[in-house]
Amino acid sequence: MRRWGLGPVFAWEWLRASRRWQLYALRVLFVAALGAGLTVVWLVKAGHGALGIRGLAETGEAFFYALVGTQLALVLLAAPAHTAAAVCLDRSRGTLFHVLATDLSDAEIVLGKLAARLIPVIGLVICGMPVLFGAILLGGIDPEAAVGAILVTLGVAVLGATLALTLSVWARQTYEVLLLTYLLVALLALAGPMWAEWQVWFGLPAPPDWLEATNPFFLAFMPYLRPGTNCLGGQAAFLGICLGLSAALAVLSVLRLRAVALREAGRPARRGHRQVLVRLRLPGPSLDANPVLWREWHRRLPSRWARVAWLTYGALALLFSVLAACSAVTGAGRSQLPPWVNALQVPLGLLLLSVTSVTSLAEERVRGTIDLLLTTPLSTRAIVFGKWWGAYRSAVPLAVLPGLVTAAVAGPARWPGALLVVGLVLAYGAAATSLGLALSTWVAQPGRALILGVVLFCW
Amino acid sequence: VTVGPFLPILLARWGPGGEETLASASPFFGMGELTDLLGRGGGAIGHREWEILAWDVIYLMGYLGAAVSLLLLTLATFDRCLGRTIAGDDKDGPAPPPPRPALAARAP
Repeated sequence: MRRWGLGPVFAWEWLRASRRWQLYALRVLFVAALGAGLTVVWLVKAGHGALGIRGLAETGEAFFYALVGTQLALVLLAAPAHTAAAVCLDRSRGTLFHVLATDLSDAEIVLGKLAARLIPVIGLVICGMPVLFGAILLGGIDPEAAVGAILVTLGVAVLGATLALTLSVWARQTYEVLLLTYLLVALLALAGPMWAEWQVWFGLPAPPDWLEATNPFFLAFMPYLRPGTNCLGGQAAFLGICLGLSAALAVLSVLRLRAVALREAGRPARRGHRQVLVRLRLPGPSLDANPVLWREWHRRLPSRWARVAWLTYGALALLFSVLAACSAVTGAGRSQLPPWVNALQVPLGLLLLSVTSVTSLAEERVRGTIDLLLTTPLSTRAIVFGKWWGAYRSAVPLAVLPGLVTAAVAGPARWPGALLVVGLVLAYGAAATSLGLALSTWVAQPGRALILGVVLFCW
Repeated sequence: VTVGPFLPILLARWGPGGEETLASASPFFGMGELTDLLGRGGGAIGHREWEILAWDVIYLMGYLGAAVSLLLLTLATFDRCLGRTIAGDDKDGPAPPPPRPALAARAP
């Protein structure tokens, strides 16, 4: 019998999602957070006396930046987190093979999962719309700018969700999908500034105009950054391109889902070359002191995808840190480069770290290996501290480059300030690791723990 | 790339002054501001700069305190959340002895 619409997968997943109270609680929290942000802006702007028409218009502009910036950043983080586990988690549990054995088509499986996970994200965008359009009444917000910002946000939501789902077809674990998706999104958003910097240092030609438009924040704020230009047309084109790319990615997922699932089913979980890597690693904690930490240190090697993500991040951070240090020492290039390099590389590294720390325990809960660990005579303290140190070791390298950049910038008189930078990065990393471990303990569903971890840390 | 920066940036841009110390709590704004402050020249550190540095130290302690608190909370709830029971870990003390059979008590 021929079925119309998105099919039973969508109906089942959407029914389950719509009956969870967390969906509605998240929307309420989101609108409450927007309201809190607007209150802070209002207190800052109007806390010192009555506002005139010009003051109200400036407040409206500040509202626009606060609302659109917060909503766009949240969608950038939440949309991939919603779909990252869509396929790979079902495959690791074995339920995907049961679904593939039914008469459901690949399109029904992929599009059903995508639509069921995309609707809550679009719901979040729609929740913020009344707040944004209500702020237009203050003045200072161009209605066209508000519409354009919504278009950009919707494009980002659809593309982010579809990209994560497509990667989920090939990836084995959820955190691999998120690491790569966040890295790709960051590269896309920072492509323009990176090219402009390379132009200064390596004599490249000027970046093309369209490269600026790959940054959704620039595109959403364009009516205020470039007044007088036809912004709405560009924003509508951005939405069209995002929808086109998403459609192409969805078609690719549909075409490859069955083949990749069958191929992965016959592949061994571990490969021989990892044993070589184990021998090449630096000495770590002893097995007798804490077996859990020893296992985290020696046996939980990052997968190929995770290595690609961390190496790409490391290479770019190293390159720009060297450029920033050179500009500080020689006086060449832009003077604002070192602060921007540190301001971007630290949060991005912490974002990758928070994803890794949440999944260090959540993935084991899904696979059932944590039950094996819990039946051993190891104390709870040894397990928790072993897991914590195993995740936190990734935070230590994050502090090296910011510290060196700051030492180069500060010079001989102020170099002790670099120690404060290193300490701050280590403290941020400790907080991210503890938050990830706590959430993966308290929240049984790995997808929810991931979303909560990323969103809470970034707030 | 994070949600957090927007409010600090707005506070620093439109606020009446002094909001940099509040905005430093954000890793995005705090890192950029601290690097910028330390690179402003080799002269003596002024009163305002000392204030920002002091706030950075306070935030460092705050983040460390949050990390330790969360870790201790995790430690306290780990067994209950994951359904682990440890033999001999009964907080109510040893189990009471089984009641004597009623017939044995009545026997002469």
